[in-house]
Amino acid sequence: MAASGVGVKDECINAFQDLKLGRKLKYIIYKISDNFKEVVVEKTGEEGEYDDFIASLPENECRYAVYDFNYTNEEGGKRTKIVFYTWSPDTARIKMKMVYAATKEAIKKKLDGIYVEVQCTDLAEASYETVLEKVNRK
Amino acid sequence: MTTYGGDEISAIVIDIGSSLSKAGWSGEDSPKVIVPSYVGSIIEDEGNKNSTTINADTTLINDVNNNNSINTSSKKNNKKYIGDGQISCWRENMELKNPLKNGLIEDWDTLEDLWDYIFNEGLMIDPSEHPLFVSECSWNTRNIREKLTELAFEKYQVQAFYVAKDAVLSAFSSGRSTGLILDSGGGTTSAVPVSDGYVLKKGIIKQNFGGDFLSEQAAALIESLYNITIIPRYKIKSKEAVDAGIPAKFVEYPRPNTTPSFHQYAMNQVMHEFKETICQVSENPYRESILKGRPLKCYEFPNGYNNSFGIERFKIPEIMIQPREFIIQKPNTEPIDTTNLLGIHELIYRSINLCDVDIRPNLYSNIVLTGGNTLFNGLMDRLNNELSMLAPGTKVRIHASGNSAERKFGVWNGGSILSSLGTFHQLWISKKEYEEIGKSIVEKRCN
Repeated sequence: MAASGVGVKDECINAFQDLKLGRKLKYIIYKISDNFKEVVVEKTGEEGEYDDFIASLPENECRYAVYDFNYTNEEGGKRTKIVFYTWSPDTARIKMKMVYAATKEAIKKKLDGIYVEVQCTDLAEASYETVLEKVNRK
Repeated sequence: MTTYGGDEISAIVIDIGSSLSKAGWSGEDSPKVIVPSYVGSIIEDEGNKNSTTINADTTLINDVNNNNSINTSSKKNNKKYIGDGQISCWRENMELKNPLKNGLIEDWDTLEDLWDYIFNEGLMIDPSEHPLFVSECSWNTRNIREKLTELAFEKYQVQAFYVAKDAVLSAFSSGRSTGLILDSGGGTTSAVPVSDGYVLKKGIIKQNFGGDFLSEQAAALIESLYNITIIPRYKIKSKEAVDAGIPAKFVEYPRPNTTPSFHQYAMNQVMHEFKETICQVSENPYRESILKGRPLKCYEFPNGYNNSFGIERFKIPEIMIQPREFIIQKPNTEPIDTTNLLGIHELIYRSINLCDVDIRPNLYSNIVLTGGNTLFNGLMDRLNNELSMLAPGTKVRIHASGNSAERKFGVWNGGSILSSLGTFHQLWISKKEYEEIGKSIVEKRCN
């Protein structure tokens, strides 16, 4: 497929392992380095409500993110699933949107254990309710 | 494996569309060369070799556009006319050819003429010093892409080559790796599902009509409603101002031996401007009684005929939504079979339904409009409206760049960005790889 060829730094996978296995992290925000060479970890959060996590997504720039999503399923059981986000607001520069979209497969492939993937261009698409619906549907 | 180091020399990016060809440098924001995808040549009678005695009047038209360079192809002695200024300029027996048919390359000689023009006259470079990035339509065949690879390496001796699907480039440049790309250009309209950067071939639905067909229909409708004949610019010598609705007073040039392809092109130019200026799509389901109450808009045709147009403004683009009901059959021409034609919303709906159930919601919420023929005001609202009726309960979201240049050149732009990335060098097919493996490499590398 047409891809960007942008690489994924090892720290991205390590942080993901910390979240998945170590349960040390609640969320990770990834960005593509300013020279468009590789994906790096921008920020991690050890705890934090969903809203805090969403607030870490910049208004006019793209990011990838992983969140350890807690929810109660339709039968009333408590569940935790890993959700992968591509955050690409319409207001971001076209070059940024292009590179993030063309690199997504590369990073997603390296993060083993993603339950559901969300592609969002505005806050409504990233909202807890929208994601919950996606998680439940799966 | 040796790879081409993409950082040092800029790549050339070409997107040949059915009406416009765009070309320019990788990494730039907009294409340097934008020319109609038509090549004009004089159909010569024997013994009339140098038939191009351009008369004084045509040179006048020429001066308006400074893009009047002439491309002389080396292998044929025949003079080629390329570029807005050249092909809009009337010449006896000049025929216009387009390399594409239904989105696929069919006339390779014409394609080469266009590429020659782009390299020699447009960008003024030697293609053998650069890598070349081209776009292709999503239903392109293996045969054609291999031939394209061959052409790039054998004839133009490019350093490296890559071909990407236009739908994927459009999706990426809207920030999506998954989405339904509705592309309506001059010649075709297609709905193409893209998932994680791959085109889902089974979901592609296309229809072989687009903006040019709408232009023809617009001419037929206006001519029959107002009982006038629309005269393209090349025939008009002089005109006088007349009041609205009064027959035009103008003087025609004789213009003998005009080819049908040239006449059609000139007519489409007139109607294209007409559509751009006054047509719009009804935001709500088409109801003539309501739409009749909308304000009229004035338009003046090249021969001076002018009038205020009302319902026609909506009727013409409505063909894209309800082709079966709104296509008009022109007298004295072969009837158009409309039974199997679909509206744009139906194309989207059917295309999504051909994909796996799991990804349908994702496609519905990521519909991307692209192509010049989607620029009608009101189209987005209308599609929202129609799709929520066709697929009740699903969340429909339509994305269309508000910037018309982005929608017209979105594919080119996507190619420009992608090929400019330093990291993209791993993907290029290098000259060496081509020499080792042959043209079949394109199928593996650029799938």
